[in-house]
Amino acid sequence: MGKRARDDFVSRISRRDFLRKSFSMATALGASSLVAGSAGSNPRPSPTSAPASPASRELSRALVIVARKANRDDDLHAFYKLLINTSLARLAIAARPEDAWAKFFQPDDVVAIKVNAIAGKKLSTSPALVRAIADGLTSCGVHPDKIIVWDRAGWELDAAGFQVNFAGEGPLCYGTDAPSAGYETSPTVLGAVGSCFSRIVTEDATALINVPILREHSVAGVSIALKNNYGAIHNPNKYHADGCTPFVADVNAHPALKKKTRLVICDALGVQFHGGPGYKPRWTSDFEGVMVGTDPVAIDTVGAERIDGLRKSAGLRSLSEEKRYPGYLSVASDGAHLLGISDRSRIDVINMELA
Amino acid sequence: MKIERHDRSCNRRGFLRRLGALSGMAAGSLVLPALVRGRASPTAASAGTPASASKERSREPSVNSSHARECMFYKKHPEMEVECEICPRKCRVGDIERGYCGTRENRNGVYYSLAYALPCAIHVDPIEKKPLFHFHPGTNAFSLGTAGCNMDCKFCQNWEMSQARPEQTSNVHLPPKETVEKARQASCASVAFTYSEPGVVAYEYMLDTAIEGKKSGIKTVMISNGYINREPMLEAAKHLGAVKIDLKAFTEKYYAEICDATLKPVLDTLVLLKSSGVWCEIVYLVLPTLNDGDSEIVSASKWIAQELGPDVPLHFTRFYPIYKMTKLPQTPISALEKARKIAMNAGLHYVYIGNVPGHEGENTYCPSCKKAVVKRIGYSIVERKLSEGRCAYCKAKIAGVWG
Repeated sequence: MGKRARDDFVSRISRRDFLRKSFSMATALGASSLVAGSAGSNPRPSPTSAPASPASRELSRALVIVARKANRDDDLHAFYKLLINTSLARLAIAARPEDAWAKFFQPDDVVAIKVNAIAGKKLSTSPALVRAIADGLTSCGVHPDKIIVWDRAGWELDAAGFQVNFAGEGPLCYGTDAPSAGYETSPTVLGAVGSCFSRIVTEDATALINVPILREHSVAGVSIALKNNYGAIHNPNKYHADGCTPFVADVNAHPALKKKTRLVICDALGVQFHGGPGYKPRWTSDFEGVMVGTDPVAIDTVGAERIDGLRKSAGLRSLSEEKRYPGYLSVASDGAHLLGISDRSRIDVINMELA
Repeated sequence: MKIERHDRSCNRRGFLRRLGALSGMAAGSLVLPALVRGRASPTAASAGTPASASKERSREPSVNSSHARECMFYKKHPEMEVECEICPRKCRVGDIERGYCGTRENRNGVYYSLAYALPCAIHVDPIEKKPLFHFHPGTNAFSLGTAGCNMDCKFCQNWEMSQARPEQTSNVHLPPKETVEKARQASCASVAFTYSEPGVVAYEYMLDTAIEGKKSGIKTVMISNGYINREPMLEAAKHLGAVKIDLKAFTEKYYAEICDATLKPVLDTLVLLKSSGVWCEIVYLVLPTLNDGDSEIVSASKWIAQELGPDVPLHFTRFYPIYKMTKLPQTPISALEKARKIAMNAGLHYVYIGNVPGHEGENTYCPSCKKAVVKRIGYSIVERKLSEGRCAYCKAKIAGVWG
């Protein structure tokens, strides 16, 4: 991508977003500061939203809930359900889990849940977590047939422990390679990226939930929420130069990803803090938790911090010392992308230790 | 073959077909148990996975594993990383990741070509379509392409396969021996690795085919961007009949901004091919305002004449808007004619105009007497005044492989 073309892109996006933000700042007084706490999030406006907050906070801070439960039994589904329902209630300031889910989703939504299934059963989004998310969606009225669990390929989902389900009763589960899905037939050019996007994202879904894992990545630094959306394009192999910067940010600037993503729920049962993206048991650690928020940049920023903490404990150099701290985080938060907040001082983290 | 969306009616049909099978497991409310299988215990790699596969994960290959071949020209690094040495990118690839081309995958520290023997496009083309005008003219080439390319040219005519991964194209399994046999059955004088960049990204397939073809007198030609490292090119040159190189432009800026690549390695490849004695022709696709400046054409032409000699054919071809360059107009014929004139003034003997059927620039002219010795319209030869590689009029030698 030439500098001129890139500058054109930046100026176009900036103008568009400025206008959009100007409008939303004037009208978003009814939105919750927590639900709408990120610049990149688009929670569904709801009459049951939490109390209003100053508009300035809406653009200036993000919130990440980190929930853990150290002593879990073998019922992973129950474990995840407790974590995400508690996190979501806190995020949305709701008394009951179903009220919290209802602040993000409505019964007529088609919700696509993007998992990360490329590394097999040992290092992929847990099917039990996805099942708990589906429970939450159905609790607020989303029909199971309108829930799509997806990644780029059915065989990868299968290898990660999901049961591929093209057309049975929902939730459906399939890859973009499924006959009913596919990629768009012409590329969308976004900054330095030119890719065909999954039609699950661009056409089928009205709402997206990004469900990554917490993982270090040898090229990108980390592969958490933003990088997970490389699974939405047909040619991710083209965009690994320069630590995936600015490519990760550009991919996530696709209007469908940007506007439809309502939640990020990072599966942090275990953490791969070195040697990613493949599974390396030597460099994994139990974390026994989830990270929940609406701002993918903030989730990634906090996730990178946690990974660095584990690296330090293991005697490894930090991502910055290895010159692998993800540069795309600051790009994602710049005026051209407005995907969220990467400034750690503007991210509130609520740590919840559940009994 | 292409990245295409199947008709939604298929899904509906599929739904009805599967309904019976799934109705049992759906039984009631959320069907959530049907969605998941839970966390399975660690298993060994699947049967199709390479023997060296670790037991740390169970990941099925993304395309039929029995077709995958271990790559040539790569280095192993700690932490199961590999470094590809087939092209100047030298992709450093972590476990379960692929290189830039999207066709070479690291599986547990072993690098595999996923495009081996899996062409997604097969045609019988005139050799002139490659274009190779001085290599067995009038013969057919059994032409095949695989998914993948190690560049990303914004004007790519075949982007739907070149920018795809092997699992995104409809492929047929055609091993080297069968490829050569199919070529023979189709009365082709050559096998052409073409359309995308199979010569580089499916290098092992091309090499094995070239070696196999030599046994039965069918030559293999590489239609390439020339973005390949010295060692693999040297090895391939021992077995190839001819090579066509796309010289995309003559500036690093263009290569960086339009092709996501670099110029220098391409020039190195051209010099290497010259020294190795493989027949080589060059295509220069002319994009209005981007690589059609007089000084650039002069520089390119002089470099070719000086480094490769005046007998290397140079084809200036016409651009048509496509892929990421839909707003650029097609190349004016006058620009092609001007480029041709500049190149001929620089001393090149055989300069052509391509993608303009019927233009006089499609003909081969004797550099000595200036008469047309091969007349073409499009990919068809309409008149040939050559005898054993010599001009029928003045007997001057015409460079090429005439066979």
